[in-house]
Amino acid sequence: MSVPALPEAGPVRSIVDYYATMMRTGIQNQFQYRVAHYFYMLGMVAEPVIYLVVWTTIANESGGQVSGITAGEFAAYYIVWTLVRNMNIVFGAPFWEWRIREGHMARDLLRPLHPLHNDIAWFAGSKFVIVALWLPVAAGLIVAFEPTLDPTALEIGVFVIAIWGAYLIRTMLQSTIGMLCFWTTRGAAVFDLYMTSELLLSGRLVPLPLMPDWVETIAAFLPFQWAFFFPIDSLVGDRSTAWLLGGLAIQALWIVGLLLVFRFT
Amino acid sequence: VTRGDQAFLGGRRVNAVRVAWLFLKVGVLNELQYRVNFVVQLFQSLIQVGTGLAVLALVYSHTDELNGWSESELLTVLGIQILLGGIIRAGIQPNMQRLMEDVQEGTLDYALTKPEDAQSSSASGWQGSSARSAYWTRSRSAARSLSAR
Repeated sequence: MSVPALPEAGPVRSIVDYYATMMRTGIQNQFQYRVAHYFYMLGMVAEPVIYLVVWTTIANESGGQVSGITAGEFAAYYIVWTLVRNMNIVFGAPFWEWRIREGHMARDLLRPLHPLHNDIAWFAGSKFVIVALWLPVAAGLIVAFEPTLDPTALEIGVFVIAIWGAYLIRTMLQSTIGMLCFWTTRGAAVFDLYMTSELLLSGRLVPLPLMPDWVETIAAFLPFQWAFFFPIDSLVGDRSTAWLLGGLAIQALWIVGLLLVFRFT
Repeated sequence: VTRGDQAFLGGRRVNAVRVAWLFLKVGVLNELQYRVNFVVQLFQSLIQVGTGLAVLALVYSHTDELNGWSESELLTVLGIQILLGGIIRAGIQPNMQRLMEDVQEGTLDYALTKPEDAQSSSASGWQGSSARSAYWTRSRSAARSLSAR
């Protein structure tokens, strides 16, 4: 007696199912470690708080503003920074280094889907938990630093899309650097160089308008600012509709471009 | 009292110092196996120092004084922070990290069954089972940095 074959789902439905399942798994997995997440988050929040205190001090000593940015606007920038940073944390290049060196990549490649799908879906699911845990931290920062923030509905909408764009840009960047580990076991040096470049050229350290003009010029040709400065500025800044939508388009271009680089490395 | 006797050596304290010195030598020999790796690590350290200096220069390009601190004073603080950070990362952090992992993985049992005091040997760089290769130790270092970035 033959067993009837199970109906096969189409490729689109299969991938959607896979992403939904992995995201649910990511959410459940992350909910297990709430305290660990909070400690990690508190450590992570220390970075923008230091920047914020430094620049607020400079602003107060310089007549209330630095290059046209007030203390309240600095507070808004760095508080939104914490959310963007939580969203754009991805599986780092060192993870790829470990995965390739230890042989886990060989196992992952046996699966019918590219391992990148697993990484993107799982981490995307975990973001929901991380954002939920971030809310009380943000409330504390708002009370402590009194940010100046008055976004429009369009800016909020663009921001919501832009933080996912930032997540994908950093995923593609770090995964591409991770591919170097197929040729060298010391990808960490390149990764350090990447992190430094990102720190200085993305708006992570300071809002880009505070950087020297030549740094802004270099930053314009690199993807880093589209994973940090653009999402933050879309909510905090007072930008035109064309600038906001153009920014989303540039994000999309970087994602596609980096995906192509990833595929051919 | 004969040569090599614990009483001759001054008891447990001197023994712990000798074990720590031995671990240090083994650690240095282990690192010296990977000469290119040493150069890479030097490069990484230079990047980190350069980043600190760039940040300082950026801050002081917008002000002459930060809450009463001049640039040269903060440069001194940065230098001390880098120095102390280096000592911590070289001598303390790896051992504490390894101790944590050994508890998680159950390999601390090897240290507990040795005649040497487990706390001092863990703090001074205990390497676990003698059968554990340098490769494995290095792999775990990489696994440590798995934290998402």
